Amino acid sequence: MFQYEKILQYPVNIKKCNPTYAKIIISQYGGPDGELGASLRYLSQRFSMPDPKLQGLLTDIGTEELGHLEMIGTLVYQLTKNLSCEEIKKCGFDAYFVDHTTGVYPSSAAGVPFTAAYLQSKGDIITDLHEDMAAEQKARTTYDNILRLIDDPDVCDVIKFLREREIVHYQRFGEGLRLATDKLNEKNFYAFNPSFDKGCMK
Amino acid sequence: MINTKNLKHRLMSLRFVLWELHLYTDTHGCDCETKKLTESFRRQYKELLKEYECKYGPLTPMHDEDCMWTETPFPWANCGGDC
Repeated sequence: MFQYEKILQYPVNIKKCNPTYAKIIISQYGGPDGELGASLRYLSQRFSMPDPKLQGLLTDIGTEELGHLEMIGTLVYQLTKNLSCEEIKKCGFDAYFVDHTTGVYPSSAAGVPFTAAYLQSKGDIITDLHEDMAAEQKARTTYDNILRLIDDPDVCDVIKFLREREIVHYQRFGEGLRLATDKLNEKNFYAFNPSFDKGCMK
Repeated sequence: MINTKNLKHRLMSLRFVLWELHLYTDTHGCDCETKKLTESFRRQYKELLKEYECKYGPLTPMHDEDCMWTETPFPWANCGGDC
């Protein structure tokens, strides 16, 4: 089971409200390469992973992504606290506000609601680990783009931390892929699925 | 930004180090050096956690001996970097 810990992974204390930034950052909450998709992807894929090391890795990274989801939610919450109607209109936050007020809702920056179509759980060790490595890079690029659009040092500090985590996760998944291929019959890496076809592990 | 004089930030730093070491052992196994590092950081963490929970209340529902869970703020509350 999961148990909540009442602490963020990294501190978030935003001093200046900015709904424009909130509108951009919400994409990492419920957008195509966001933290919700990441956690669901890894926590779903782990069931069919044939190796306990990889089951552990997906459980751990999937859990950390839930922590990142909470950090992004915190950023959006703090960036939209105590807004006036004038600020909402001036910053273009009105389209979000009319549907969600200042509630944190999983959607992309363009307002598209979260969908499980953003992720895959293919039930194949090689396929899933490649998807995971790609997902980490896509999230890293999104954080790079966010850093290009914002200049509040308090926000940037948190985004930089999250960006670095994508790189570490990419590295760990790469090692996971190596562990997986080391265990497969090297004459036949891609011709079978070790979760499904028996007798293909070394 | 991490402030090393802040108790919560110090706890976060130790948790981060322990978590990084744990992720590392997922793919590398636990060698002697990693084990030693983990043990030393875990000792520091346990001590600091006691101090932290005395001051700020339980970190998890399992540590909530005095029904303080809803009496202390949740982590998304902005406390201006002081907590």
